Order: sequence, then C-alpha cells, then structure tokens
Amino acid sequence: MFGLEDWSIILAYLLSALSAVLCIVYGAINWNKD
Amino acid sequence: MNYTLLNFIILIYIGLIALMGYLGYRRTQSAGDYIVAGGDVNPFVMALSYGAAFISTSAIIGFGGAAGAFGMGLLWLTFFTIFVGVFIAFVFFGKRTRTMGNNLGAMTFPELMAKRYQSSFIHIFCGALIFVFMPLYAGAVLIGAARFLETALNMNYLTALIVFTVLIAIYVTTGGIKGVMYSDALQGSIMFLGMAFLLIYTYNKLGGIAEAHTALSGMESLIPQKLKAIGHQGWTRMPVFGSKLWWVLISTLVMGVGIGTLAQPQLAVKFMTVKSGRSLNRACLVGGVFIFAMTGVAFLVGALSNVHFFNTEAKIAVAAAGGNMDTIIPLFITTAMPQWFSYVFMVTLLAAGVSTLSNLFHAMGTALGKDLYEQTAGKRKGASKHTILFVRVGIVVGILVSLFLGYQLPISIIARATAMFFGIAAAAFLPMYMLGIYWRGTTRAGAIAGMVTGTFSALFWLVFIKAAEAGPLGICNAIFGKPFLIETHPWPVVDPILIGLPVSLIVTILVSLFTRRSEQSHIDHCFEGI
Repeated sequence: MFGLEDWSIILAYLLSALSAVLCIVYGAINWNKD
Repeated sequence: MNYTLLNFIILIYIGLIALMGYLGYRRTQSAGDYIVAGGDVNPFVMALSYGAAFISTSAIIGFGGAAGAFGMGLLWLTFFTIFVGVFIAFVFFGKRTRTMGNNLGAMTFPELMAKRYQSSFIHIFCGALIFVFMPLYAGAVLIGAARFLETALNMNYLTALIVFTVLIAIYVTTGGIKGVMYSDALQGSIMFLGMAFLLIYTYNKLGGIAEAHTALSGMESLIPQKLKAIGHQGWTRMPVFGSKLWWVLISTLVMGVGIGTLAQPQLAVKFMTVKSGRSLNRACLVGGVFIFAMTGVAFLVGALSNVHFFNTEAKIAVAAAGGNMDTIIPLFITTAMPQWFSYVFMVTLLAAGVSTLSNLFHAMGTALGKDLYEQTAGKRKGASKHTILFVRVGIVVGILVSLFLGYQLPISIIARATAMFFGIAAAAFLPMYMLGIYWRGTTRAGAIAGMVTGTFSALFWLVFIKAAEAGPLGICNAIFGKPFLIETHPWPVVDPILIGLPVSLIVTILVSLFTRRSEQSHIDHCFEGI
C-alpha cells in the first residue's frame, strides 16, 4: 500500500490517521457538551 | 544567503511574538493569571498551546532525525502521541484534572497532587524533581533549535544557542502563562502551515507518495553494517523483533515518550486553564489534527530524507549529516527545500522551540516559586508575596542550567534526553496522578510510596542498568568496576519507564490498600462534580 510492504509500518500509518479522525469525531460530536 | 528576506521574516516573527507577550502581560493581574491564566482560556488557544508546548524542536529535529536513521517505525510514536497524548489525555485525564484543580484551587501540577493527597512532602518532591530534571529536556529542545540555526545560517553553535536562549528569556519572564499561551497559539499556527508545506513539497520532490516510499524501500542494501548488526532492516520496515534497535525504538522512543506525555507537568497544567469540559472536547479536535501534522510529517520526512541524500550525494541521511542524527532535518531543509522555505521553516522551528521552552521554563519557575519556596521558607508570615519573584528567579536559573546542558550534551542526544525526562516523569507522577483522579481509595502513603519508588527505580535503572546512559555517567563503573550491572540482552536496552512505571503503579495500589484513607469530606470535596 502506497509503496509500503511491512504491515507493522502500514498499521502505524493507519492507526495514526485513525487516531486523528477519532479526535475530530469526538470533538465534533461533543462540541457543545460539557 | 538572502539577508534581506531572512531579516524581514525574522522581524515579522519577533514583532508578532512581542505583541502576544505584551497582550498577555496587559491581561495578567494576579498570581492566578500568571500561573493558570485565570482559568478562562479559549479552547482553540488552549489546544494549539497544548500542541505547541508538546511538539518542540525535539520532536521535529531530534525525533525526525531519529526517523532519518532508524526509519518509519517512528510512526508508532505518532500513533501514541495522538491516541495517548491527545485523545486519552484530553478525554480521560483533562476533564477530571480541570474539575479537581478547580475544586482544590490548584495552580501547578505539584500543587494539585499535594492538595489531593494533603501532603507538603509531595508538593516539595514534585517541585524538586521538575526543577532538577526538566532542564535535561529543555537542554535537548535548545540543541534542536541551535543545530538548525547553526546549519541554516552557518552560525557558530554556541552563538546560535545563546541567541536563541535570549529570545526566549525576553518574553517568558514578563507575560506569565497568558503571554505564553497566546504566543503558543500563534506559534502553533505557524508550525502547522510550515509542516504541511514540508510534507507536500517533500513528496512532490521525490515523485509522489508511493514512488517516494518505493525508492526508500529500495535502499535496504545501503544500511550500514553497524545498524544492521543491531536489527535495522530498512527505512520502511520495523527493526528485527526483540533486537537491540527494536527495544530502543519501542521501549525508549515510542513507549517512553508516548506514555510519558500523560505525566508531563507543563501539559497537565493546561487542563486547569480552560473554563469547561466543553472547551476540552473542542480542544481534542484541534489537538488531534495538529499533532498528526507535526509528528507524522517530521517522522515521514526524516525517513524520506534518505532518498533525497542518496539522489544528490549517494549517501544515506545519517552519513550526509556527518553521523549526527540531530542535524539530518536541518541539513535536509537547507539542501532540499527552496531558500525562502528554509527561512520560514527556521521560524517554524523557532516557534516550536520557543513555545515548548517557555512552558518548560514556566513550569521550572513555578516549581521553584510556588512548589518549593512557598512550601518551605515562604510559609513564614508575609513571605508569600515574594512568590512571583521566586518564580522568575526559577525561570532564570532554569534557562541558565538548560543553556549549560545544551552546550555540554553530546551529539545525537535530543531524542534520548527527551525520552529520559519523559520516562522519569511517567514513573514518578503517572500512577499517583492517574489513580488520584480516578480512585478515591488512593491514600497519601500510597501516593508517596509510589512516587518515591517510581523515581528511584527509574533512576537506578538509568545509572546502573541501561547501557546508553549508565556507561557515559560512569557511576556504575566507579562503584562496581563495570559500566552496567546486567549484560544479558535485552536488559541493557530496556527503557526505565518499563521498570519504574509498573513498580510505581503496583506500590501505589498495594500501599493504598493497607493504609488509612483521607477524611471522607476531603475526598468528596476533591471529586465534587466528577
């Protein structure tokens, strides 16, 4: 994927992106909640 | 070198920072304003401030350089910094820290712990630990900025170090945390734009995302024998599982920093500066994106710099940088990027360094003024009016010690020194902090026992077991006649955080189970609204 072959590097790449998405989703859903 | 352009960019930057410092100074009227910004900071400012304080020249230059030498395995640290350093920190630590901090009227991390456990010993011990060990981290951040100035401006290293230190000293002693947070938010915005451009330009220069990665994968035959022998398999592959390099990467760089971030006093205090849980939710959104853009870009670009250096000099990055990991990123920026960008990136790095250092110096200052002075000599009647003076004295001493370390520490040290401080902070503070905001049954004796055993087990490991530190320190050699006590793999490469943190956690829980709890009314007061 994207020229990468080692699954653990791909996983780190994906988990980093997913964690950023998690922060975005959490922040957006709870934007007005205390 | 285009001095007109350079001077123009630097002047705009300094002007903006001075303005932020002045705004903070104008709005700082009380000790509360000076230390926790009166508790009413905007979530966007708070998030960028947290991010800019978290991400320093150490992360970009030091860890980016480590990625240049060790490869994309550093991306695991990106995952940890976002998931643990932002999501877990904001969602599971932030709200409880803010509420408990408000309930107890705490202004610093040591004060929060001391009031939660009603112990002045905890207050003094935490303050002393911060004051003694934080200069190690601050020194590493100073080196990162100075190495860039040295490379980009052909400046003498010592001059670069002094120029940069003076720049920070100018405003951190005046504006208090409001000035620090305003300028952090500005610095965070500069950093975000700079790093975004860096990533796009790098991939574009190397022919695209997949092409750049494929080219890097094809460089496996160029790995130096020395790195191959410790487990290096290529810049797009993890080191051999269980090898020396694997342990360094995972236990020191990824776990040490990724988990250690939860117990950073200068970051935890940010939670006490916002006015509601809502602000923290919003800050989580901004923080996640920001940290992704910072560490993700730095580690990717660090690893990819190998392709650039191979294409231009037929060398791998660490060889092109003369064996010093800390100069890989500065060299890449100055040789691969357009000249105007290397100037803008210099400002990005100054921003990253200034924002982190101002927070570190602020934390060191409050450690001396509020945590050490007020708890000891300042307890005398009327002496507490000198608190802010002692905070400023603490800042100046912190700056001088960090400057000294920045000059004395060896090459390729930034990532290691940072991880060392994060590891000690995690072992000393994390169990007491985490259990203190979650478990009503954590007792004062448990917290003290855990903090002391965590601190000393981590320090023991550094001085007597971990080869990279025990060897150069020489204490083990002087006492036992050998550089470190255990030679069986993997112990000499295991990071202290993997020893100190579990020891501290177990001791805190066990001692708490068998010792007397605080008064129920105090516990109820601490957890009110949680």
